[in-house]
Amino acid sequence: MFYDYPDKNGKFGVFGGKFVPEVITPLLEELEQAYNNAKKDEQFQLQLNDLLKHFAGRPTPIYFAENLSKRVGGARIFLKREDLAHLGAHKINNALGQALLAKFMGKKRVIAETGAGQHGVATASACAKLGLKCRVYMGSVDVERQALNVFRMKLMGAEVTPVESGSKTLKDAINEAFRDWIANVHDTHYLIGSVVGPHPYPLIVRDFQSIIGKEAKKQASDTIGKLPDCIVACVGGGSNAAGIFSEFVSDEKVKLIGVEAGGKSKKSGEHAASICLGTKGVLHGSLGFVLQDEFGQIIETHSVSAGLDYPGVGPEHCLLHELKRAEYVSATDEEALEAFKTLSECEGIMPALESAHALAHAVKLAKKMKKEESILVCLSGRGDKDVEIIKKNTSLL
Amino acid sequence: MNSIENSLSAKLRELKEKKQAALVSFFPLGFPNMNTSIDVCAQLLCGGTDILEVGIPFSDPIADGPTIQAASQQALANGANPKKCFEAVRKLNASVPVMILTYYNLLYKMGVENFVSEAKKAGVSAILAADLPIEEASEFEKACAKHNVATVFIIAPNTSSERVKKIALHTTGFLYLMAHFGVTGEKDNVEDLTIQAVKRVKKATNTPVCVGFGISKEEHARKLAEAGADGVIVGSAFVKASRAGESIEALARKLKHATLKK
Repeated sequence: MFYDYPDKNGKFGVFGGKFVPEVITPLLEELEQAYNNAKKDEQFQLQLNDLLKHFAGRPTPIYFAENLSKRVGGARIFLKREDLAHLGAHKINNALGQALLAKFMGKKRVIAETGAGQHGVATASACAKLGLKCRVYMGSVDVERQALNVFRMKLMGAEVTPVESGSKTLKDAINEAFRDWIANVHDTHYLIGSVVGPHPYPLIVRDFQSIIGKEAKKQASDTIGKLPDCIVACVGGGSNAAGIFSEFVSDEKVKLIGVEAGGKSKKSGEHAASICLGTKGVLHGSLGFVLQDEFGQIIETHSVSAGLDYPGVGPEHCLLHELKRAEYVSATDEEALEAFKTLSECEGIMPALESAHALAHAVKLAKKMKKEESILVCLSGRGDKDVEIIKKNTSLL
Repeated sequence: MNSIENSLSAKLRELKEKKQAALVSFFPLGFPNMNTSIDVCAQLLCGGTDILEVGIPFSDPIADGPTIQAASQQALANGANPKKCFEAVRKLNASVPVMILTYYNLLYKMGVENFVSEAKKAGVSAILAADLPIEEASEFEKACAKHNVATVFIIAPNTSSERVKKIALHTTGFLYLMAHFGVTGEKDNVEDLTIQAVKRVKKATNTPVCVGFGISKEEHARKLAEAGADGVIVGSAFVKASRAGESIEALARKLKHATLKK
């Protein structure tokens, strides 16, 4: 299928765009220009590749989860091990790319938002490495439930600012980061951590994360023997999914599945499944599926995983959903916790609670598939950060 | 400038002839509850407000500072929504033009044309969506033209003169010049940057220019009026005064006095 998005206006079909206060418009234009230059700049590409290899530890392997596959019975399950990347998640791919871009743009200061803290940690690390000042906005609810990551950010020299407004989670951290950017237009780069926000962010973040898909495609023949029948990734904003999907969109035989946070129930306010249960709206600079009330006020979300606890989703996922090129489903808190436990027990790998959502769906799916078939799960991060939450929820297990 | 003829354009023309800058007074509807906010708006009108700008609160106001954020949050908690806000405007039955400041998702969700038409029916003369740049505004502009509602767009100190001209072509009300880099909220001084921006923008376009963000004192209003601004927009200062139980009318009157150019 022919697929070339976003268009020159930053649209993925009707989705995306640049719904921002005018003061941000010149910054987005500057960023787009810088990004287009960087793509052609040999120095930039050499430095980025070097950082990805020697600093972030890429490529990450594809691993055959043999014990899990046996236990489930059905399709073979493979894991793209982003949990083995530096700091334990795929977030470093984008953080390094954008921090380097900020440096090439002559910016001295980087701001970021974070939910689970993984993007904050990755940004803090990239800024430490590249000599940039770093401030991370984080909802105060998340500061509490991801205390370990707050400490890690501080250790790497970042300033962490808890956000007390609104629902005190990821969406409010993004609001606050935008406000900071509006006030500091001259020296600051806003390093968005997912494929959300105004154009060109959904494009830039996808491109920097597409290394996951590029590697997976190369590795597939040696590990799986062919392209996987199905790729499953979790979707909050959707950056790891966008990264792994991007290289397979044109391989129409490969089924792409995004798994959203089903939370406690399908009742409004008890989940974060923007595509499955949301409606079209404009949030944080782009048009996409959002969780909102009848008047367009954004609704507070719930997920056991802070990284998926967001009422919007990247515009490209909205398009892939509308084109039916990818399928979007949800997994509940309970299913994710169960998957966490299963993978830990039978493979000795603790997945991040975000990734556990993808895993939960993959397990369901594998049961209905044949032995010759294969599923590749994007294991976007490791679960060390979540053990406190697991401990608290053991009654669910 | 594209022109439409409605009460807002008439008001701006009238003030220009009188050599006055407009006092554009902002207050978030529904804060702390709908009736109180209607009351505050009435006081703003008594104090000599030329254009009343009412906020329809949105859950995620990225262009607003802590004062208006907190006010919006409280308004929403007390049940404010666009329908009730339109009702409040109707009830207020203001003798001066009323404009709406909100965020685009509220228009989008209601249906842009429906929102504009309901606003018009309630007596609204102009609409500004703080996160809607001209590139995304075609549906909004069409609806406004159809219902004779003026469009207001924001420009910032970093908006090039070339882009100011382009934005002016889409503006049938006035250009809302953001006085400084940052979100809404009070500031101590009007910076040189702001005065320069007013002069530069006035040179670039004949479209009226009103200045907002951080304007709270008489001295600010006077300086901006002298620099050539067609209006000054005050918001957070009124929210603060209302929280503190101070006279809104007296504050408005003082500010209005400062907009009388010499």
